Amino acid sequence: MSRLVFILLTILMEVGSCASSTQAAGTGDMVTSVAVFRAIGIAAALVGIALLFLVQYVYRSRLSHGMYHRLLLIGVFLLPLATTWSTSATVMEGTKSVEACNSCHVMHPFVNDMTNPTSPTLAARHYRNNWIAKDQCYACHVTYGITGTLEGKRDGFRHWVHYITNTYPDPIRFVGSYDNANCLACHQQTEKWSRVNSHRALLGEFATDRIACITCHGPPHPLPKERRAQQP
Amino acid sequence: MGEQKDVLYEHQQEPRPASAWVTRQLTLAVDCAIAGLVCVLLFLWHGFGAWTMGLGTFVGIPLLLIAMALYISAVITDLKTRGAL
Repeated sequence: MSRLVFILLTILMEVGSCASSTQAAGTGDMVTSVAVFRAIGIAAALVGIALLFLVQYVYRSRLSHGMYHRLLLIGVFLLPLATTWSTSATVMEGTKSVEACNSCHVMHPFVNDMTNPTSPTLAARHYRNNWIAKDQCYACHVTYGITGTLEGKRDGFRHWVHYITNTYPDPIRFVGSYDNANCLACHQQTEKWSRVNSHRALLGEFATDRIACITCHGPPHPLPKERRAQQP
Repeated sequence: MGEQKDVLYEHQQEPRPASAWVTRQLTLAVDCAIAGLVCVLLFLWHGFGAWTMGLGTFVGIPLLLIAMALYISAVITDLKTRGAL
């Protein structure tokens, strides 16, 4: 029994030091909440796998009935609960990042354009001027409001299904309409925006999405033809 | 006095082994938990990728939830069998 505890503690210490050094190296010593959730999840999953394997397939005959059930409570209930929580938190937070969007190849032209210092698109100008400090894709593509996050996750799931089933057009096309509220959430509060006569005159049209902000201020991203030209 | 001794003796006994049904449920819960933890670990270790995220989130987490449900069901069945519930 003491040997089992020793093995598990060794795994936990090794994973802890390995995960923290990996995170520190990857983010320039800046530990983010996603990195913490991820490290907790990795540690809990590794300890859980080792514990369950040892308890069920190696030491089972040597463990008392009570000890077997106590270890199963940890291995089948508490550690999976911790892993589920940390994985959900990693997914919920991690999918907001530009890196997560860029992990699918169809997004490469959009992210390449956004980070291009000479691009004239709306996304590139926002990125270049640091108007949105972080999670730039998420900030503009998740509707503001109480259901925005849920809608964002639902759309993310739909995109993921299209991606793995290979049922999407390439280059991809935006279907639907872009909600002006996403622009107005930041811009409407600024004096610079209010000074423009046409903004004040068309406020009702903007509120009902009859006129889109990108009609005058677009394009937000490279057009399909430009994206096709960028692809190798 | 003799009865009291018998009662004490009974309490000191190792609990009766679980029924075959409970044992099967627990074994299945352990296997589901190991498989789920491996899927989630692959995702967390590899990071965001279409396949790893699908494996971790849509296979790993449901397996972990099934394992937890099986464990709870096995514990409740066991406690009911022993008359504790």
